[in-house]
Amino acid sequence: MDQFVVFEDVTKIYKTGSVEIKALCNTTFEIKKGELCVIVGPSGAGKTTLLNILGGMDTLTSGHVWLENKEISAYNKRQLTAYRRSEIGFVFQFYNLIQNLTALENVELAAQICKDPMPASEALALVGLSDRSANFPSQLSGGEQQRVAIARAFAKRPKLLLCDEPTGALDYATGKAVLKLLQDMCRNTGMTVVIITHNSALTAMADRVIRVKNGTVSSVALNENPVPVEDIEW
Amino acid sequence: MVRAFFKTTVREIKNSIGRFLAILIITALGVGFFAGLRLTEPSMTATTDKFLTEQNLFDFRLLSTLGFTEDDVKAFDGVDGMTAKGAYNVDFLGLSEGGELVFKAHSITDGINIPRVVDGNLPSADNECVVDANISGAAPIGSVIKVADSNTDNAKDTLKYTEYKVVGHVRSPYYINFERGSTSVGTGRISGFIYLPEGGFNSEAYHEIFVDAPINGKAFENEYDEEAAVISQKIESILNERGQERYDSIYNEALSEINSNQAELDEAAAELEAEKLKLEDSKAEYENYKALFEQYESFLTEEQKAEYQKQLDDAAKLIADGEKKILDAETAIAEGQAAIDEARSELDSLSVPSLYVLGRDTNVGYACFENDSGIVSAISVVFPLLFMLVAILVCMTTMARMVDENRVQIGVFKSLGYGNFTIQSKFLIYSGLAACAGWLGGYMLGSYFVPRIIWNVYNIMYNFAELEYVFDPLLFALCFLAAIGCACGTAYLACRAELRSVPAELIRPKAPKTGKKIFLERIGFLWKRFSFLHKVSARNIFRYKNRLFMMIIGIGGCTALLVTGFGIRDSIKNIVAFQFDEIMLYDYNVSIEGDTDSVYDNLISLDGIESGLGVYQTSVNLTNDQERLDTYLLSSSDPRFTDFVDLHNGNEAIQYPENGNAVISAGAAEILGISVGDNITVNFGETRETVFNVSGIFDNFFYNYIILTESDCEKATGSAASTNAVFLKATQNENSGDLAARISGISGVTSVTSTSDLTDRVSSSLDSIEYIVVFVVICAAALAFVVLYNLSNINIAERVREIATIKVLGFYKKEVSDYIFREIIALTFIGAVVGLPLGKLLHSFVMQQIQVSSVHFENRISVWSFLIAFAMTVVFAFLINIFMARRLDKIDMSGSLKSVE
Ligand SMILES: Nc1ncnc2c1ncn2[C@@H]1O[C@H](COP(=O)(O)OP(=O)(O)O)[C@@H](O)[C@H]1O
Ligand SMILES: [Mg+2]
Repeated sequence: MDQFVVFEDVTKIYKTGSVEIKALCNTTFEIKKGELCVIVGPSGAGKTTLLNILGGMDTLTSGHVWLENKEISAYNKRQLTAYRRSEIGFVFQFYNLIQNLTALENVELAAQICKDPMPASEALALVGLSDRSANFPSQLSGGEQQRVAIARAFAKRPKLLLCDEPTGALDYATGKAVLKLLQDMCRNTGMTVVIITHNSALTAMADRVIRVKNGTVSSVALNENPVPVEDIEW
Repeated sequence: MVRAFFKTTVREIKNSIGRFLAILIITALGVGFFAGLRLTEPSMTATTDKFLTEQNLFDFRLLSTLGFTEDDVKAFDGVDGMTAKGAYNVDFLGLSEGGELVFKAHSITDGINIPRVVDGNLPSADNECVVDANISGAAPIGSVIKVADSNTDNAKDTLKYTEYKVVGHVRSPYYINFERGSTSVGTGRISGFIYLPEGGFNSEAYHEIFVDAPINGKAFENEYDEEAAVISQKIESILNERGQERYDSIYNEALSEINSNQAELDEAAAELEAEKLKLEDSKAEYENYKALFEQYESFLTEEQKAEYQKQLDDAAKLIADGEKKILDAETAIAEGQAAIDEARSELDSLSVPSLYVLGRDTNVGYACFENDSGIVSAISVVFPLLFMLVAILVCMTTMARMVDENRVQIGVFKSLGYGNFTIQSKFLIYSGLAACAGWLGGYMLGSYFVPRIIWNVYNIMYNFAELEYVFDPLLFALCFLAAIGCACGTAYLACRAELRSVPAELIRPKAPKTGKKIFLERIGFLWKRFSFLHKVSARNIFRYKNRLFMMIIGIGGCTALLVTGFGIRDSIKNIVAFQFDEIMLYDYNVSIEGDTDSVYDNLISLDGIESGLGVYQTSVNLTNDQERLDTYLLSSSDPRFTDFVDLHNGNEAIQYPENGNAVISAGAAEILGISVGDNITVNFGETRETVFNVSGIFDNFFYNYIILTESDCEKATGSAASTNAVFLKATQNENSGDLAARISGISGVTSVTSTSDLTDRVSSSLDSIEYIVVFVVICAAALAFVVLYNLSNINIAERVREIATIKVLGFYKKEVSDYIFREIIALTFIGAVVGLPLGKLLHSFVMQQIQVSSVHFENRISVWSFLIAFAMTVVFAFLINIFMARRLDKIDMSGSLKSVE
């Protein structure tokens, strides 16, 4: 298997009381190393659930997930934590920066726990925020905060960068800049990046597009010529 | 609308039961403590009043130096609804199973000072008695108390029988504390009282009259004193009349007796004169006959001569006899006259009797109780204040958090057109319900248990009845207002700011509190040493000021309470050991009489005795302007005195006083407010008063002592300070029971007190101190738990996103809990450190309040107590953390990060 990420027959059922919600149903797909993968689908389709399972934040009900031939779905709680710690970088819609830490410290917080982290200041420089490193999150704009969040995820030198609607809370121009940053990172460092969006226009920037509908993958398309983000309009 | 609100409130309580309980418990603690401590004094007073009312303690005790007659008693009885009873009393040495003890015998007065039978029954015959329950061991039922031969004639005459059979044990309202008073008999200290039927006494006059006056006011209250003062005047005027009458009757009786004696004597003298004359006549006749006989002697025959001579000799003898008789009679008459003259001068010096109307406050037990019960009141302010402060902080932080969480909901309700009051009412109802439940629970538990626990401690000195439960509606209402005010006030303040904002603003997420640099960061070299995560914690600690205060006050209060609790034990528990291991170094205190030198020699030559010291000991009173303190006076010319009584103050040795100087015990000095260099007044008997300069104050815990030189003793007491007691040291490993018996067996020994017995007795009663310690520890633990739980709870609730984020970043379980709890632990340490000195302060305050006249508590807290208090606080924090760590584990990452708050 030369596949980097493998999802095989993954089903996720949420039980709240007596109600069962099938968030994912027999989902199967693959992602290759170094790809920029965009997952699109309407709200409630199960994109976040999928990403959470891939990122080791959630467990699945049945099926298998592999990353680099290691079966994540078989990990216990502690192994999952270690997995998140060393292999995964997360970027959320609502940045989730720690309010009481400066931009630099937020990045350091992640770098702290890694074996071979990127120096926090370097990660900040990479997202172009060296001059704001001493600012607290509340002193930064939304786009800047999201860039700090990306720097935080990136500083861990993860194998896989997972982004859940990274532009959801941002305006058009800022969102575009953030996406460009992610695309550049993928291209320049060869890191595998997965971006979730409900905006189909963004599929143009991806190497691989996975469409999700009602908890299943409806199609997987490979994009021979991904377009730089700057050239996409929506 | 109301139902909808009620529903959301109930749901809110269900969802945040921990927070609800935090407010409830802290309110309960505050209210319970406050109500309990506030009610302690009234409960104790009510109990005592009930006891005194049921046993009908006298309202007035009348004394006269001439005693009282039946008529005197009748003069009071029935006047203005008063009841009066004459009574006898006498102090005597009695031989009981517990050895020779000093007893005070009272006559049983029908309906006044009724002894309460603890076991057995009241006497039915005149030679039966009931005994002080405190010395029931020394005089069990069925045993007899013999009146010792060594008693004064007065004592022996006053008691009709030479022995009394013990038929019961009683408590008396006349003696509600352990103090039995001092006496001139034996050791100078009364061991216990006994009650005899009136017929058990044999006395011309009553020694005292007890009056029961119709007073409505309760004991120890002002109304009582006011009513008593009015009646007192009435009694005084009657008493003065009766005193004059009694004087007149005694005077007239004596005078008429003197006069009749004089008349008799005069008659006798007149008769004597007549006899004298007769004798003169006879003498003259005899002389005539004798002359005649001598004239005619030669004419008489031998027989006649012999006969006449014999007749003459007989007559001469008769005359000589007569002369002697007359001489005797003359001296007898002279003597009689002298006696009459003396009686006359005595009668002339007979003065109107001194009369006293004594109220209840002159009764030692009553007066001491009034003093001692006041102690709690002072404490009852400080402790609850601490809890109140914490309660306010807890409510404030909790409600602020709750309002934060409900921002959006508030906004929605507001935009739907609900009024501010309606929206507010949810928070007010929430906190109000918690406070109400806390108030009810706290009041019930506090008002019942706190007074009982304290009463248990007081039982060392007062043990006559079970504590009464007192319900005080005013206090009940006050607690309610305080609890509700505190809870709802903070709730109101918390949501006031939110209610001012427009709905649109509320529906939007609240701008997160800006991160800030803390002052520590300015101290570069220190800040740099912190590891990254420590920096984060340090910054978090100072992020919320009110939480910081809540934590420090709460935890500090907890530590302070623990220090106080353990400190109280330190200060009280060891005083017995200190007293007899470090101060009073002898093993037996033996009172002796008679040929004291030989008694002493016999004592120290006993097997098992290492050494002995002859001392003079008696009871005196030390006085200042307000206080009058019953004190032992000790004196010895032996330089070995300090081997038996180690005089020291801390580490500094105190010198035996010189002439004119006195050394007194620390307790006496404290009560009288005397320091070295001051003068002290020593009272002995009714009138004798001497002043000495205090040259030293020595550590001492039981009773009060003054030490004087022998010649100063003589000045103070008016009689020679000859040895009347011996302090004995036993050799090691001596069986004390046997030795005590052998000591008592030596003639001239009147009583033996073994320090080990005393140690055992006092130690066992001091065990109740443990109650206080346990009580304080429980309260401290409760305080710590509430504060820590509340803080952790809020901390976690508020930072779920943060926690979820670091979990996503891959922090291990341990790292996550460290991240959150590091600051709680740090705050715990800060709080505990602050609490240590606070505890010392609180402890010395409490100890100051519990000064009791014959026990001097030391203000000492051992290092161990500090350590344990500190350790326990930290352990509490860890326990809470372990409990809360489970909660951290349950935080769902994806769920918490999904949306904004
Ligand atoms: N913790 C949860 N408990 C119950 N149902 C959930 C939970 N998380 C997601 N779901 C459900 O699973 C489905 C998929 O949700 P999600 O993956 O968040 O969708 P998307 O991210 O594509 O909008 C939705 O129907 C949602 O209601
Ligand atoms: Mg989603």
